[in-house]
Amino acid sequence: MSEHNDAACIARCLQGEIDAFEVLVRRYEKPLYNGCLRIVNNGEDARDVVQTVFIKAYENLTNYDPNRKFFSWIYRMMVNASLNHVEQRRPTSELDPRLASSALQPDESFASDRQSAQLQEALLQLQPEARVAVVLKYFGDLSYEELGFVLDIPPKTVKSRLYSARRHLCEIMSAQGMVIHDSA
Amino acid sequence: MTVHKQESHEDLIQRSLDGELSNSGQRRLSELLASSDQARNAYDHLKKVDSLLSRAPMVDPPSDLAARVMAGLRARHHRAAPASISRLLDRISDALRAKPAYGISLGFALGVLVLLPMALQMPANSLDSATMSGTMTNGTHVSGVFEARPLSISSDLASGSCQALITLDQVTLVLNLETAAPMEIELEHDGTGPGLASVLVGSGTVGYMESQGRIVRLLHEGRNSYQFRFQREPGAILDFRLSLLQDGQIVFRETIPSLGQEH
Repeated sequence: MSEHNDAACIARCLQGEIDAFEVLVRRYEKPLYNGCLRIVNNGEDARDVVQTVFIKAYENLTNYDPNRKFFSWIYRMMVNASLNHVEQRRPTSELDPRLASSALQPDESFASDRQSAQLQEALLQLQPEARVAVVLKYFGDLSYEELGFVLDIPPKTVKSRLYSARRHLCEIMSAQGMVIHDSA
Repeated sequence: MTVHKQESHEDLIQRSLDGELSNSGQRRLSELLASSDQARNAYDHLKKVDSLLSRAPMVDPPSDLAARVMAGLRARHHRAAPASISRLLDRISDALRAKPAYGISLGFALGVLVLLPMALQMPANSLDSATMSGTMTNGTHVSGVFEARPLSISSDLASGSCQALITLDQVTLVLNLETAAPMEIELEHDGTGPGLASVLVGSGTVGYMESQGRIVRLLHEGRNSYQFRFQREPGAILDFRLSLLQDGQIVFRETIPSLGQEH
């Protein structure tokens, strides 16, 4: 990710050049969409959430701290918006594991293979906080320090939370006979 | 001691997964895995999960996502114009206070210009509208019309100054459901503000409900037409999403983006 280019784009946006923001949108729509999709588990919802996040980011550019990476800043907004969305959504549409894989199937590129669907199914069974930690690590490609900023917790806590989340994922996948079979 | 040992194992495994283990750390991990089946088992599983997650595919976002974002931004930017107009009117008003006679004449002229279209119910007041039409999973037809418009415009002529004031905006959704089957209607918007909505069925208001956050839910019990009215902040651009649910399952969903964009 080009931080220098980000800074230049942001400066132009702050001068009122809306079109300069499109560079940032094109640059970060994919990681933001993927992160959001893994949290909300619905392509249309993810599109709506990410769209709203980009617009709110533009409107709040004056509050952006240039000492931070723009990507970390907007990723943080995406995570908060996604979690809010999950909280507001009725539980039946989120937690039923039978729906997890079938809900993914219309999104063919997303569940192109069974393993990916199984992984997403297991991710959905994690508590939102744990799920977000995993998503940030693997789909956001952020450092622990950046993860700490996004989650608003110390990097050491991030490591601990991520470790617990991965352990829990192992347990879920083992218990459901997904890919990993516990030999113990 | 035990706690410390476990933390150390966790840290070793974590750093190994992150590819941050030094040579000495790698040796310690190898010793640990050789001496404990439990640790080796846990490590193997974590390694597999890590590998699965690392190889998980990245999906292309919808091809229109960037375009939608930019359209929304441009619409909001465009809608900022009334504030500028308001400031301009304020300046004109200040300037005319020095010459009240000119002010009364100009105020009258502007008042006519502003109020006449309202009196004639010309569509000039309509900021945006969108139609919606679709089919539920069971084949039933759903249709709706969204409209965003200023609720009132006032002009103060008596004081010799002129004002064009949008006091309240509202968004109206007329929804037609061609089914008597019970279902839940859920209407969500992304705006801020009081979020108070009135719901009308036919010609009578059936009640007001405060949205939980930005969502209004209503039970459909055989009526075929609803009218939802939302108060919005003047000039706000709203995205609406309508969902129909039967037994907790979504049978219809439609998103109306960027409502409030001035034509």
